[in-house]
Amino acid sequence: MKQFIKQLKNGLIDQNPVLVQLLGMCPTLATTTSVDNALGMGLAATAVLICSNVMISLLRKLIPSQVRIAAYIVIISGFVTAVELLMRAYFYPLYQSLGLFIPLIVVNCIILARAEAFASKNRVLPSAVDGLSMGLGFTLALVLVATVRELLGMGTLMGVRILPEALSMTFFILPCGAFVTLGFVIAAVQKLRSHRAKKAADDHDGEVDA
Amino acid sequence: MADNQKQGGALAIVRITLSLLVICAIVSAVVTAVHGLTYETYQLRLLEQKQAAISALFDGAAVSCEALPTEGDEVKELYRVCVGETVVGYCANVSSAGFGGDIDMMVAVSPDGVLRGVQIVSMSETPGLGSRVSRAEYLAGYAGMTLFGSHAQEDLVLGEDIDAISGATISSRAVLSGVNAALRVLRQYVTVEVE
Repeated sequence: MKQFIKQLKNGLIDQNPVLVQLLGMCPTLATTTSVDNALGMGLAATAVLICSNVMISLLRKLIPSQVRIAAYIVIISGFVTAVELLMRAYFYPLYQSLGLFIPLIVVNCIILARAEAFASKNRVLPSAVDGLSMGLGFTLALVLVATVRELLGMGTLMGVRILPEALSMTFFILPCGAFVTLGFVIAAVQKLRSHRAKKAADDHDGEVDA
Repeated sequence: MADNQKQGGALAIVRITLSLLVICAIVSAVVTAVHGLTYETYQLRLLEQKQAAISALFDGAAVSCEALPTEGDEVKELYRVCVGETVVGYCANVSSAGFGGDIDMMVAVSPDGVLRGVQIVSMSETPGLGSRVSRAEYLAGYAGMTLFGSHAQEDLVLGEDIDAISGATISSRAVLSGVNAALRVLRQYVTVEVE
């Protein structure tokens, strides 16, 4: 249980795939035009991440190490394609709003990175937990960036109008706005993290779990 | 694992290649099976989607569609739309290149030469920018135009017949070019029926 909480905290904050490891930049920049999209992309990637981690952890003794990357890519892309086909047939409305992003999941380097760095060396349960926490960390980062972009760019949050339309700055919806916003979000999160690390170092006498 | 490979030599290479081949074969088989199992359901979904778009263009009436042969490749599909026995209009399914991919739309005219309207079936335009062309308020601008008089032959023009959405010029233009492509085909049917 303690291990589980540690892994979760790792994925969400300390080793956040987007904000700390700077992985998966492409989907982060592309899909954060609205909170709805960001949430959809994040959760879809989380689902794939959990499943691919489990699968690769199960097969870790069978895959020859020389061709492991090729094998991971084949397994991940096969998995994503199957999910896309199933979704298209049985959850059509969901497919319509997410359809664009599903093929993007294959090339999301977070998934390959976790397969290589974690799932190929660990047992099934920790690998599944790792997939869950990294996926949630990815989702958190996407939602943070999307909140800023949707609010400033369109004046809405999840489609609900917050600011009048006259105040919305189209810049934030465009790709350049994505880079600027992501930079500021990463800076803010790093500032918070270093602030907390300093605080933890200051009152070191007690067992402080920040 | 690396040590066994040194001893194995050529055999090791064959073993590695074979295991990759097996993985690829299994994954391909699974994907093919899933595709086979879901394809029909997907086609059904697409059909429902199109039916809903056509029905919306005819005030939500229970319409029946009959596919007509299409000439050329300007339109993907062409339908004669009936309510009961009476022909209420013609409908064309066209797609045109937008900013984020193809915009798939339905364009309908009534037999007396009035543009019933435009419905976007699917598109992948930038949310909040290009996606505004699918708003009902914008598409309503197309409804009610007539295909005789000045529009008997000529295409509709952006800025004269319909306005572009600011910040979404490419998407607006894509919708317009789709509508024009549809009208080039639909016009023939209208005049044929009227005469």
